[in-house]
Amino acid sequence: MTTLNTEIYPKLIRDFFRFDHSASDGTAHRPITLPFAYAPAELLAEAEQLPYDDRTVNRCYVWGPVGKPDPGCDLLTSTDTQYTAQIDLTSYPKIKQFIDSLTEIGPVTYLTFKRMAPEGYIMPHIDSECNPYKIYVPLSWPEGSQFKILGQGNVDFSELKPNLINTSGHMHAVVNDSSESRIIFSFYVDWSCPGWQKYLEHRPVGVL
Amino acid sequence: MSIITVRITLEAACDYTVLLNNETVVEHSQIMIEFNTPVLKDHRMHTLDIRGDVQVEGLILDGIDTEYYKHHGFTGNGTRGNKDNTNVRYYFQTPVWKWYLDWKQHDNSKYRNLSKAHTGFLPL
Repeated sequence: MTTLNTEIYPKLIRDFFRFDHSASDGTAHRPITLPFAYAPAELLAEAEQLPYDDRTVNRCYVWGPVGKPDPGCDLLTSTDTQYTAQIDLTSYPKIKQFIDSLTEIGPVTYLTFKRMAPEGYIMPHIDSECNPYKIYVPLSWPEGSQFKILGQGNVDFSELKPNLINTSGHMHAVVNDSSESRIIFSFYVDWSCPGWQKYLEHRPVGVL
Repeated sequence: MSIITVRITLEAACDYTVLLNNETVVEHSQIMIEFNTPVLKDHRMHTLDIRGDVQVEGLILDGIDTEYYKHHGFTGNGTRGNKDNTNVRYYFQTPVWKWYLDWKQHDNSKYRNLSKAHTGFLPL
């Protein structure tokens, strides 16, 4: 159970976090280990300098399909096959290196950074029009930050662990019930690629 | 068991009657009404009828804004929506947060969204 510290959250979020006592069975989310080393602190230093937009939760669209405006996610209906950087990454060598490492595994179809202000939140929703499986890499996760999934507990972002999350099939909500901003990035990949498929095959519990 | 507040906002003032589980709660004519329910059994389906020539603009259950769920009323003429000249009925369950998230998840499934994208809004 999580009782949020502040009363600024809509009642739907407060009730969801307070009364959904569920635990994960591994079918909606689980930590994963990426096959290369990276330093979250170095990525965070660069991520803090990115050109975020002015949405309620600031976003910076970094990687996606060639020659298209920002589709918002890797859409289920997308037939794109070519992907590229959406901003000049020259000033962000660690981020570029991270993406290069990902693309060695297989195609990365969409990647964004997100910065949530203190006491920020995202209302419960599902991303049903998007690629079902998404990988999240937290760069800061202040105490009070929670990523909650209906009936499946909280995502374990302790120690800044990356997680694979089925965001298209499960209602989820996010809060940053702290006094610090938090930054995370997330990406979709081409799950039909053998390099990425093994991350769906090697699952400790259940079927994601 | 739950006792919740219900707040209904109508598009315009008119004479109407609110019934909860087929029992009259109040007769009213103002554009907005709020009341506490009697004790409701959790995880059961409850009905909320707004009887009259009404157009429901807002439905807040237990302090939770049900947003576009207002368009999923059952109307007196056998269709779905938030407007009718005789009766608009809503179904809900308590705890409201759990029922609403469950409903919203189903209403936003990829299959539902494909239907909506192809034919527009498709009330079920």
